[in-house]
Amino acid sequence: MSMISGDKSSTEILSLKSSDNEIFEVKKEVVLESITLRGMVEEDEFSDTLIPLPNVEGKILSKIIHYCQKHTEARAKVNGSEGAADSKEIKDFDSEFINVDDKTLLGIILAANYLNIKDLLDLGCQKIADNIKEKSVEDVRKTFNIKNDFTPEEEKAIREENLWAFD
Amino acid sequence: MESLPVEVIGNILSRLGAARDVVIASATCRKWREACRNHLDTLSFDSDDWPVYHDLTTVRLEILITQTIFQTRGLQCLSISMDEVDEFSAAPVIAWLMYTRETLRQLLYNVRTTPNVNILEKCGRQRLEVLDLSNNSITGVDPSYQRFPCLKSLSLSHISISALDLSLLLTACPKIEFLSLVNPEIAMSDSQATMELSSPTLKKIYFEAISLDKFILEADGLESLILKDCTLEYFDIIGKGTLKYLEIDDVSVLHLEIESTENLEVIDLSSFTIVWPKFYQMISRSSKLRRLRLWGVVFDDEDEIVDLETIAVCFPQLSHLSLSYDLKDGLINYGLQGPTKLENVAVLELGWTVISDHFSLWVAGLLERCPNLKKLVIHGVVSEAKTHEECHMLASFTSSIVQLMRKYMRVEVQFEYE
Repeated sequence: MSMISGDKSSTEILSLKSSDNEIFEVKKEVVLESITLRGMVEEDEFSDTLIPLPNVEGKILSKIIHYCQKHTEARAKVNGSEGAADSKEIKDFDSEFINVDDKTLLGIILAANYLNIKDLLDLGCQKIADNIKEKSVEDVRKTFNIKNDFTPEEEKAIREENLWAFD
Repeated sequence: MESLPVEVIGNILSRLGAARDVVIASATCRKWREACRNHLDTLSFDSDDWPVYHDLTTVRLEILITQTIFQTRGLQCLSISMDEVDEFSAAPVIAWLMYTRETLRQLLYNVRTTPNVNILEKCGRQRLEVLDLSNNSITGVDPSYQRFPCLKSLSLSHISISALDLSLLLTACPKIEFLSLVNPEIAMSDSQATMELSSPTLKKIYFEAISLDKFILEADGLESLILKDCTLEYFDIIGKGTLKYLEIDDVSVLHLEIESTENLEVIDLSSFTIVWPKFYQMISRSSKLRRLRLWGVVFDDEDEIVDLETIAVCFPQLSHLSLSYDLKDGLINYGLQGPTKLENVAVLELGWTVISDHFSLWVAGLLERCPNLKKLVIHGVVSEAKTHEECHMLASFTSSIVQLMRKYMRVEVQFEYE
């Protein structure tokens, strides 16, 4: 594991370890996109060791790092020049990025929630919301593998209370 | 899915927004139902969202809205936009507003209520940040107890309100940044219709379909002003030179005064009658101007034209110039006279309403004035029934442009005909 220590914190590299023991070396400024990690880094001396993320598997962590990298870069650009141009670029990146299968989508959302990366969490939630629009109850259950844990009486009561939505 | 925390599900449901979808999603399992109960922050009843709304009677709509809202707790954003409903009765509307009072941050409501409900009085005021009202009346504004400490955005459309109440309302919003007024019914006390509005925090203003004799606007922090389809005799804008963006479209105003125009960056005027010397005097200090658009403008004095020398000298940073107006025969050359080039103009948009020979000459003259031009857009109006003469004109114009652009190979040319 190589560690590059620079004068500025932005060139400092940190190591993140996924649940399946994959190690990712990431610039500190990118790591700081995660409020959870920011807390860890600032409180303890993690700059010399690995930060273990037992809740996040490598495949998902890799995607999350990619998202954070892209957004850190975009933000740096905005501080420089034309903000509007980059806004479209970032939007295109986001919609491309979140266009994944349901399993990966859920993984990203869970990880973004744990790592407290608000923009990514919102992006993922919006994607799920878009997938739910105008579906029937059964379709939503099927799409997201939701187990119906209502008793028949409860289900009937819910339906009765909101009859207008079910037709 | 089971591993998703209930707050995250609340986030998802809030992004769904549309009431029908939220109800359906919350009927899938217990956790989703709990999320709808306790973690839903946005709910929207929009006639565009669910076609079944059209088939329901007003009473049924009142019932379903009430029942759905009452199944939630802590709603922050409520939107009721039912275009086909004539009016809701006061009781359910009051119930919705009172139920959400403590937590509401955004309210959109566009249905008339009968008898009229004083929405400002009934809705939550403490946390309200965005208020968008249509088709209602506002009366009896009293800033001594009706204050909106967090309100940033206020949009009123087809609202009946007195000039005094509107003015008082603004004083009750110490943080307001955006104001939109569309087709208001403004009750006046004077014989002369005057309105005076003042707010040091307003940044963006949008006025549409407003008709007044006298309008005095005092906005020391104003950055953007858009006027559409208004009829004003006297409009006085008092400020501290923060205005950057000015757009006037299809407006008739006899006397327009804007204090401090030094920081204007964009001026966009269309379908506007200008007294050019007076207007010009007002904007001549806008040395930071980047975009100027004079489209379908009519000059009060028939002999007035826009002379490019003045534009080039006063607006050295101009990068985008759009001009379309009646080109008077003998005056074209007059307008093109002068040595100063438009050094920074990268985009030029020129339009005709009636095609003539003069137009090509004008285009040629302008191209010469813009040494660093990158893009030229020609806007033309082509009538459906083209006379032989019109076809001939268009053909002759096309040929002359092809010829002309050979001299300017680096300029990208686009045509937009309507």
